[in-house]
Amino acid sequence: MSEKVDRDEDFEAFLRRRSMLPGHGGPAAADHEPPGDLDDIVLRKARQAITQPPQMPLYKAPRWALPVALAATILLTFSILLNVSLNTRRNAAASRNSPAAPAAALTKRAPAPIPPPPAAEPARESQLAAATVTTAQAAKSAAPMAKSREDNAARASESAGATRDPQVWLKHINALRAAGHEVQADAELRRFRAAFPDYSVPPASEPTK
Amino acid sequence: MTQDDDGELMLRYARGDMRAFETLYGRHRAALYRYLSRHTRNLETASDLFQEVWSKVIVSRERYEPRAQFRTFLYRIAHNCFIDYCRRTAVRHENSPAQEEDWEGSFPGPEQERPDARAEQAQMMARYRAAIAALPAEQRDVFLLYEESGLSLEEIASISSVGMETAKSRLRYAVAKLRAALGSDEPSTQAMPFPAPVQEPGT
Repeated sequence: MSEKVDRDEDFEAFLRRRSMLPGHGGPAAADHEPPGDLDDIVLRKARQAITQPPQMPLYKAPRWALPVALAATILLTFSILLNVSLNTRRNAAASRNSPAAPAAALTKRAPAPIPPPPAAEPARESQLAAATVTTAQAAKSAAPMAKSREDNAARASESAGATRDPQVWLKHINALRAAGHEVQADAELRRFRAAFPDYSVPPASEPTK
Repeated sequence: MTQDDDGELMLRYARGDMRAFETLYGRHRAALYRYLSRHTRNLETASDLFQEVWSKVIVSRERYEPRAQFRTFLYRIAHNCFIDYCRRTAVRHENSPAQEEDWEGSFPGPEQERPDARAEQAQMMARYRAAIAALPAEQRDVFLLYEESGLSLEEIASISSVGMETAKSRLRYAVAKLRAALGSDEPSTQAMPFPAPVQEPGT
């Protein structure tokens, strides 16, 4: 019992003195202090911390920069989209109202037409008929070549048919029939009808039954 | 200027007053150094931790708010720095001969000029330090905080994250063991390490 009381008294004494060492004034007298160079290091660090300016980034955007940049981006994007949309609608309306629009559109879509061969004049037509008559024999001998040439000519005349004078074309057909080139004349007639479907063909140009 | 002005000194230092810091540092440097050197029993380690503690004080000057005593703030940092040091190094406080020699030679007594008095004091200090080193880590921490920092038991309990009664109980046990060790002729020299950090389940 007395031992416990002694221990309590010791403890209370320690709480008052804050030192276990007898004969010493307190902890400060019992031990040592930090060396001077350690003091210098700490004080130098403390001085540097308040004398050196805080390291600032090269550029610090103000607080309002981000929202303003976002708003500007959205506005710009919206205006570009609106402008593109309005232009598209305006062009579409203009193309609907314009009378030449279908042709222009057709021109845009179709390839450029092959320039037609020059329209044959009457004199030239007769020369051509004569030449055809004189070379008929040679043409017969060279039938395959003539055939291919015929096809080429047919294609050329087909493309040229749209712009050829129908009366001149019919005269040419008649001349072919007169020269006895019925096959050529029939082919020309078919092309003529394809080019001018509403044109009434005179009986002279019709194939002989 | 009284101890109560520590917080104000810290605020003045945060505003750029170096003299305020010098005053503050002068007040606490010795006790803090003793706290760390007794804990680590290695002057080099104590010096490193001492620098670390003051560096943290310097860095945290802008955030400092004098809600509690500056000493509480300072020794909380010191306590945490020491705990971190123990975890980093998984330190076991066995004293090497070189450390003991370093330790012994660094304590000049007030009666150093008298050889017999010096020998007597050195002997007592050796037993005292050995007895402190032999304390369980929690008891040693509470004891050193109480002896060196001048903090109340309530503040020490707050720093150690324990209740006040626990802190007082640890201190009572520490004092009893030190009393017993100082009264005996053969002080214990086996150091008691800080317990390893408790692993959370699942980690």
